[in-house]
Amino acid sequence: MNQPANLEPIQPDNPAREHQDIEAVERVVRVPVLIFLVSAVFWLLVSSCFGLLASTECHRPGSLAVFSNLPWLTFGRVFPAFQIAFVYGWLSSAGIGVAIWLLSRLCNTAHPTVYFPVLSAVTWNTGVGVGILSILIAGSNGRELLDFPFHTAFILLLAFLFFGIWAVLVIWNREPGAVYISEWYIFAGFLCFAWSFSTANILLNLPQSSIGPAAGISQGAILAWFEKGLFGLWLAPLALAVAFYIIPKAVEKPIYSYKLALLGFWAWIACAAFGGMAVFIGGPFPAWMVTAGIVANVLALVPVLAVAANFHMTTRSAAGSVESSLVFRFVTLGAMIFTFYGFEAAANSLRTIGQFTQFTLVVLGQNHLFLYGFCSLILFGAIYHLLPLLLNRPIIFAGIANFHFWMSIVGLTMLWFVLTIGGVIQGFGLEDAKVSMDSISDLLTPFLMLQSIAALIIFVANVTFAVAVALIFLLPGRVRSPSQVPETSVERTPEVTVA
Amino acid sequence: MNNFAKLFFGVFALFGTSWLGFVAYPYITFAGLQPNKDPNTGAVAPQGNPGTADQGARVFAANGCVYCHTQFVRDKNEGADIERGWGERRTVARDYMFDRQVFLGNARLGADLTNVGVRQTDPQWYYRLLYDPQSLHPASVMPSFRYLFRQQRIFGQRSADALKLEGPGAPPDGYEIVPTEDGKAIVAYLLSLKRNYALPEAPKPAE
Repeated sequence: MNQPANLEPIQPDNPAREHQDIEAVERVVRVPVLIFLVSAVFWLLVSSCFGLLASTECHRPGSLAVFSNLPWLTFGRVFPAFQIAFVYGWLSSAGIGVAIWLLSRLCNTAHPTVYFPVLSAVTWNTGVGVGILSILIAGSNGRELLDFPFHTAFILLLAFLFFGIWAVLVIWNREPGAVYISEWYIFAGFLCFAWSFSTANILLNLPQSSIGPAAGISQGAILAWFEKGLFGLWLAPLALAVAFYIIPKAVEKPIYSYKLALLGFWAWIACAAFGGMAVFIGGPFPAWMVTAGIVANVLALVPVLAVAANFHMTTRSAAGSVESSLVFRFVTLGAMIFTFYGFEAAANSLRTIGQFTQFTLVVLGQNHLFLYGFCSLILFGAIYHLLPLLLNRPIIFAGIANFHFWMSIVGLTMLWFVLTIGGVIQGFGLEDAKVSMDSISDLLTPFLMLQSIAALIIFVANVTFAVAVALIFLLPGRVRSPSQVPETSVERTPEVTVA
Repeated sequence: MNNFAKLFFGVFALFGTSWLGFVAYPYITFAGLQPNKDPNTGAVAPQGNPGTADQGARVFAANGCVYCHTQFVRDKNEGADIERGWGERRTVARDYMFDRQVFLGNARLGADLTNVGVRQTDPQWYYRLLYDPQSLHPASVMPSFRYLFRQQRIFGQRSADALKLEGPGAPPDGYEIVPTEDGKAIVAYLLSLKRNYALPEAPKPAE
């Protein structure tokens, strides 16, 4: 990052493309992007509080007897509230915000209808807030990651429609030329989320009607299909879109192989679309449904490795000069965790291993690895990249952001080890009928306590992140010039783009 | 890849296929299930659920029970569920055909509930568990659901479903602790969880 600004576009497919209006593009989408990002940070804090509370309630239920009179603080409501705030409030808001910026930048259009994304941001946040409140007050509906009532789903879909109209307009008015990898992922994620979210809510959440709720056991299949789509075809594409943008940009090199990226993309869409039912090994479904899920999750190693190889080859020769970049560290670590997650998900889907892990804390650890290790780390990087850029001011207190980085790594590592080791013990216990459920609870107690310590560390990391973001906002605006941009920022050369 | 049309049709085809396989297929197939009629005895199984059980299923959902309790039993060669006494046979699609909401679940911090109504038939056991889980299972991480109960003055006779509490947790003299409507409904639901009939596709093991 110490070289002078490289003014040549570095995507080989389209050398003719010029980006003279980048500043103008940024100016137009600044407001909606900032609303999405700031509200995402707010929901991250909300979900951290719920997560910490839910974790604490797990190991000392007796000593927290005061909560037993308060239905809205019971574990069964706080835990889904934590998940909804994290997935829809934090990850989705941050993801949509970054996607708006990426799309308008890569298409090089700032379509004047900036009202749609603003409207989308306001509506989306209303939906998340209403959803969390209805879970706490009226209770969950017992469908994981879809715990809110239908009216909440309707508000969220409306917000998504506003975003969709804007996205279509931007794509429609785009500059001619190759579509960049990040755009593939955003587009696919957008399409699949709209599809799976509306399907699942109409068939599962709609109050008694002629089409829903779906009959009997089909609810389980639809929910598993939706959850896999939410993770694999909404959150993962958003995070990968960021990684495919930031990594080549940080090392100032084009992505290593376009063909490999193409393979990774299509194989990932296929595998994620079919992988849902692997969670029901031994479940009351026709065998082919579960087997298809297992095969898809194992085959997903192909795209996971294709993506990893592409990133590795892109960054290989440039490692030294970018090590100090905070944004780059967050994003590459997130991408590495994606690879690790791919292996763990494939292993846990195998019948022989899944038999021991499928109902245990291992699954929770695997989900945290995906949601926090992969998606959140990449989005942290994206926000540290975007905020200074949009507000035209540098990260001054790089130490705080650095502390955030290390705390989130320590917290995540600890959480994953605690849940995985505890979960394996739990799994072996569950599979041995001579071990009573009471003794399994006994064995799990220390792990559940350690889980709370890890949750506390992550809580501190998230609060540090919020402080770092607040400081970027509160600092007086500065003129962006090379001398003032510290090492932590990738955005030394705004003229360089990968597309 | 040079245009969004290709991208759109590619993603549409892939995700559409999975939609057909994992949404449309089960939606249509499992809606057409019929209960089984035993040719020898004429007994029909499974039977529909009583109304109170449906109401209780809502309370079960609202308080997130599904986050720790599953409701499906795996076959003998796929897990220790049957050995643990959680059921005599694996569960199959027809077991859930009358459930307005299905709670398969994916975590077993607590016991599987597929057949809890067979294992525990006394409502008092459930009330005690919900009111103070640690009094039955000291190491359990189950939260206490005291908000499903209320304390009321005893007029004349004690209510039939009042909790039998002793020691420091007992209500003051002249008062009793009884389940609320929600408390009664969730216990009615749990008592209704009995998948202990035989089905041709999942026969009980020979005795």
